[in-house]
Amino acid sequence: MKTLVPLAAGLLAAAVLAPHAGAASDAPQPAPAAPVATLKVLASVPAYAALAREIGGPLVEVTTLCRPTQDIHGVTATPSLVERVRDADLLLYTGLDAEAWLDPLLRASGNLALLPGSAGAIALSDGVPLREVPVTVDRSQGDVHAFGNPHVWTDPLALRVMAAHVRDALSAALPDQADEIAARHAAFHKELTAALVAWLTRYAGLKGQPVVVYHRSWTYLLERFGLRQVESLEPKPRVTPTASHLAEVVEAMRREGVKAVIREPWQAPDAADFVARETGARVVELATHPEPFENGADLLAHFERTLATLAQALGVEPAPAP
Amino acid sequence: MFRTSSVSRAAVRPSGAARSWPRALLVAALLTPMLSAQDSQDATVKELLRQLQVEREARLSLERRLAALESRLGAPDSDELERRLQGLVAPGDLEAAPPRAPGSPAFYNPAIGVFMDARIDAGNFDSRLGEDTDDFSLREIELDLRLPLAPFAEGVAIIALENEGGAFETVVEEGYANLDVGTLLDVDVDTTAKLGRFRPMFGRNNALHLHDGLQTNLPLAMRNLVGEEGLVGEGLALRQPLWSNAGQAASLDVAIVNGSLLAGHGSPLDASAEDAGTELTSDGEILVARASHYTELDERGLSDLEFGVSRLGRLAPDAVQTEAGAEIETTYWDFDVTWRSRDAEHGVGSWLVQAETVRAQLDDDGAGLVGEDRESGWWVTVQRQVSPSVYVGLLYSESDVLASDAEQDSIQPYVSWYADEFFRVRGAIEHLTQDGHGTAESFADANRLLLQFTWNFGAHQPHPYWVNR
Repeated sequence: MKTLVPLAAGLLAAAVLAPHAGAASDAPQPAPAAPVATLKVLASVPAYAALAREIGGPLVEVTTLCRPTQDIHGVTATPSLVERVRDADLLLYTGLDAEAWLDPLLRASGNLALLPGSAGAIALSDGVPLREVPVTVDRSQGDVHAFGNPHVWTDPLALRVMAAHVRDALSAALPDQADEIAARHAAFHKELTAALVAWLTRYAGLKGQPVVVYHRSWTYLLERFGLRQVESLEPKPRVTPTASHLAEVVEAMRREGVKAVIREPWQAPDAADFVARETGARVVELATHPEPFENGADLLAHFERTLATLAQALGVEPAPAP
Repeated sequence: MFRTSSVSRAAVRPSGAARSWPRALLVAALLTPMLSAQDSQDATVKELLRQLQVEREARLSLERRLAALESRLGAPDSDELERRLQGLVAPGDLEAAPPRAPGSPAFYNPAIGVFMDARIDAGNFDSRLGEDTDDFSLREIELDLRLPLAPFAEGVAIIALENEGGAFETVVEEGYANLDVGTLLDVDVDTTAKLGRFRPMFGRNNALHLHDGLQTNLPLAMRNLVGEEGLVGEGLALRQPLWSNAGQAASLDVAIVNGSLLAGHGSPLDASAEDAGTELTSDGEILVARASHYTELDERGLSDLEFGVSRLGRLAPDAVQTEAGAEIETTYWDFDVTWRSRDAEHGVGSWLVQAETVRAQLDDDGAGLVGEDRESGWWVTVQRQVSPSVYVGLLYSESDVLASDAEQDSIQPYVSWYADEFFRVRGAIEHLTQDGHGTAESFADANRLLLQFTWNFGAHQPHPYWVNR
C-alpha cells in the first residue's frame, strides 16, 4: 500500500505532465508576431488625443501636451514636452492662435515635420464654423484671439469635422491601414451622430437657460444647446475679475435669473463663489477636457457627463431618449 | 294499557328521510337565488379572467412580433441618423466652413514685439554707492523682431533704445540666427546653434533680458561680479540635448564669444580698468559653457528641479587685456538650482525657489586692476503666487566687491502684479549694507524704493517673456 500510493501519484503526475512535455518539444513553434508599427501622435489637448485613439485604435500611440486639469493658455514649455514634440510623427492642434506656447516647443524640438503648414501638423479647427470672430482686434479687448474663439473642441458637432481631419491624416501617414482607419472612423462617426441626436433631443430643455461663465471657453457648447451666455466673470478675456465688474455680473444675474455659474477647475474659485453667493446660483465646475486621459478618454461619456451636470444644475429634466 | 303498533307510530310520525327533504327544498329555495347570483358573478369573473388572459396573450404575441421586427430592422441606419440630426441643428451647421486665408497677408514680415520698461528709483543709493538713481526713467525700449528664415533657421533681432542719463542710445541687444544643425546639414542630430550677438547661457538667468527677470535689477552678486546687465557677446553657441527620459532631461550649452564679453562693455572689470587709468581690449575668445539637468518631481509635471553648472574662461591669453598688453586671466564658475511647484487645482499658489552662486578668479598680471582676486557671491529668491495675478517674493544676496576687500549684502522684498499678460507693475524695497574691511566705506543704511512698469505690445508673445509665471 505504501508503495502503491506514491506509485499511483507518480503515474498520475506523469499522466498530467506528459502531454505538455510532448507538446513543448513536438508542437511547431508559432512564428514571432510581426511588430505592429504605431504612429506617434501628439495632441495639444486631451480631446484631440481621445479622437486619435478612437480613430487610430492600436495603430497609434498618443500623447498630449496640455493636461486634463490644465488651462490651455498656461502650458509651460519644459524639456519633457520638448522631448514629446521631438518624438512625434503627427501633431494635432487647434490653430487659431490657441496654443501660443507651441511655437517655442516646435523650435526647441527641431522637428520640422510638425511645423504649422507641413503635412505632419493638422489644425483641427479647419472647416469648423467659428464663433466670436472679432471685427477689430487690439489689446484693449484683452487677450482676444484674432481668428475667433478657439475652444472649438467643446462643440460635439465640430468633432465630426475634426474626426474627418484625423482620419485623413492617419490614412496619409499609414496608407496600408487606410481601410481599417476608415472603418474605425465610420463607426465613430455613426456613434457620435447617434449620440448627438440623443443629446439634442434629451437636453432640449436647456434651450434659453441663462448661465454665467468664468472665461468664454464654453461658447460652442452653450450655443449648440441653446443656452444663453449672459456674462463672463472676466471683464475682458484673461483679465482677472474685478470687484466692479463682479457687481455688474451680480446685477445681470439677478435680472436674467441666472442659476448657474460655470467655472473650470484651474480657475480661482473666489469670483464664482462670490457671485453665486450673492444671487443664490450654483457654481458648476466643469472641465473642457475629457478625463481620464491616461486610460483613453471617452469623449462621448465626457459630453454626457457635462450635459447631465449642466441640466442638473439648472433644474432641467432630460426628455426621454428618442 | 294503551299500546300502539310500530305501524301506527310510523303512520303517525314521518320517517327521517321524509322529514329532511322539505328542509332541503326550503334551503334550496332560499339559497338558489343566492347561489344563482354567485354563480353569475363567478361566470362574469371567469369571463373577465378569460378575456384578460386572451388580451395578455395577444399583447405578448404583439411584443414578440415587434421584437422580431425590430431585430430585423436593427438600429437606425446612418442616413436616418443624418436626417434626424439635420432636424435638430440650425441650417448650414452640418456644412464645413470654407477654408481660411493664411494668417495675414504680411506673413513674410517679422513678428514685432515692443517691450517698454520704466522705473522709479528713490532712495540714497546715489550717495551711498554712487549710482545714478533717484529718478523716474524709461529705462529702455526693446524692439523684438523674429521670423523663420528657412526650414532650418529663424532670425532674431532685438534692438534696444537704452536710457543713458536722459539720452537714448541705440544698441543691438541681440541679433542672431537660430539654426537647426540637423536639418541644415541633413544629419541626425538634435543640435541647435545660435550665430551672432546673444546672451550666452551662464547661470540660470543671464539669458533673460532685464524686463523678463524676477526682480527689477539683477541680483547684487551678478551686478558686482558680472555686470549691471549680465553678459552679452558675439560668437557662436551650440546647444546639445544630452539625454531625456521620463521627465528628466540634460543639456549642454557651449558658446565661443569675443573677449569683449568682459572687456569694453561696462563690466566690473571695465570699471576697475577705468579706475586704474586704462582700458580693456580683446584679441581672443572666451568660452562660456553650462551643463544643466532638469527633473520633473511628479508625474503630472507640477513641480520640477533644475541644476546647472557654468564656467566662463578665456580660450586665448589675449582674450582680455589692457591697452598695454597685460593679459588678464578670467575664470568664472556658477552653480544654480531652481525649484518650481505649481498648484494643480486652481492655477494659483505656485512656488519658485532659485539659488545661485558665482565665483570669479582673476589675475591681472600685475597691471594694477584687480591683482590676484578671488571674489564670490550668491543669492536666493523665494517667490509665491498669492493670487492669479500677484506674486510676492524675497531676494537675498551677498557678494564681494571686485578689486576690494569690501563685502555687501542686500535684501529685497518685492511684489509683482500682472494687470494682464501684457502689463506688469512691480514694487520693491532694497536694503543694502557694506562692510568695507578697511578698504572701503562701511555703511548699513543704503535703501531704495523701486517701482517698475513693464508692458509689451505687438505680436502675441508667449510665456518665456514672463518667466516666473
